[in-house]
Amino acid sequence: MHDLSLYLLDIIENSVRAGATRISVGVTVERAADSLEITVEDDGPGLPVTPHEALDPFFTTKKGKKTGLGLSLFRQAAEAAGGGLSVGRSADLGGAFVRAWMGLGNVDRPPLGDVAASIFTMVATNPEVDFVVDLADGDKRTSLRGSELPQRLPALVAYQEALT
Amino acid sequence: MKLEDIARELGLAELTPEVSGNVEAEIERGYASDLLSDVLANAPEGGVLVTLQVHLNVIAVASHAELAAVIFAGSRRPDDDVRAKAIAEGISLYVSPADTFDIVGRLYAMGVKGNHA
Repeated sequence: MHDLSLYLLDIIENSVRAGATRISVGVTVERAADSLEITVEDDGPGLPVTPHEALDPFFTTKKGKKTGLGLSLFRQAAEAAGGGLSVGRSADLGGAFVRAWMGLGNVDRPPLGDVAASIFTMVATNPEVDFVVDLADGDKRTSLRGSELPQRLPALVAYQEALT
Repeated sequence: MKLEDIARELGLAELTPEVSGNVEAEIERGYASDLLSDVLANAPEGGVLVTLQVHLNVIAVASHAELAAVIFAGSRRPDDDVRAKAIAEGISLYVSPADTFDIVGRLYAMGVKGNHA
């Protein structure tokens, strides 16, 4: 997990595995505030445990595994980069909500990585899920649905390239 | 090399005397990294980890990778809840004022090797 796209992939996978049919992914950059924020929310059953338990590295929903590290490692990476991570219930979609924020220019912030590939992979392998992707870089905003991603992939790639 | 001998030679402070079964363990391999997903993927079973991270995640990763011990470099000390979890998981914790490079160099000289030696 040396870049943020891998953490993003991991939390989108959590939503898919929980049975969500709508997943909303947001990446927001505010350069003036030196801030980078990543959100994933869904319409799944929501967190099966308290937020505190969900961020416990010894808690997992996967059978046969003793530890669940995706969210815990993401939180640690975000905290190391001057930010944090919170989980809860999505006000818009009713399922789970994950929000990670960090200092855009913090020296300990992991690189963004191939976010376009992470999102594209999840959209392509889960055609039954309705994905919405919102990208913001200051005033520049792009919103696209999973079904239009093959045509609009250049917009996603352009967003990513502007940040790396 | 026994863990207790390593601890004595390197002058490590033991944080988990409650984990008594481990000090007799023979340590042949080690790993040094602060990126815990990397530790999870590459640290050798039964080995020792040298890291700056003192987060609870270290214990989860060490447990998953079945490490015998963790040495915290640069005098970094974990919180009590981290120590308690290590004891529950049977993982020995040590702290050293030395930096990672020097700790690893001394471990290597004592015969504790990496994955590819």
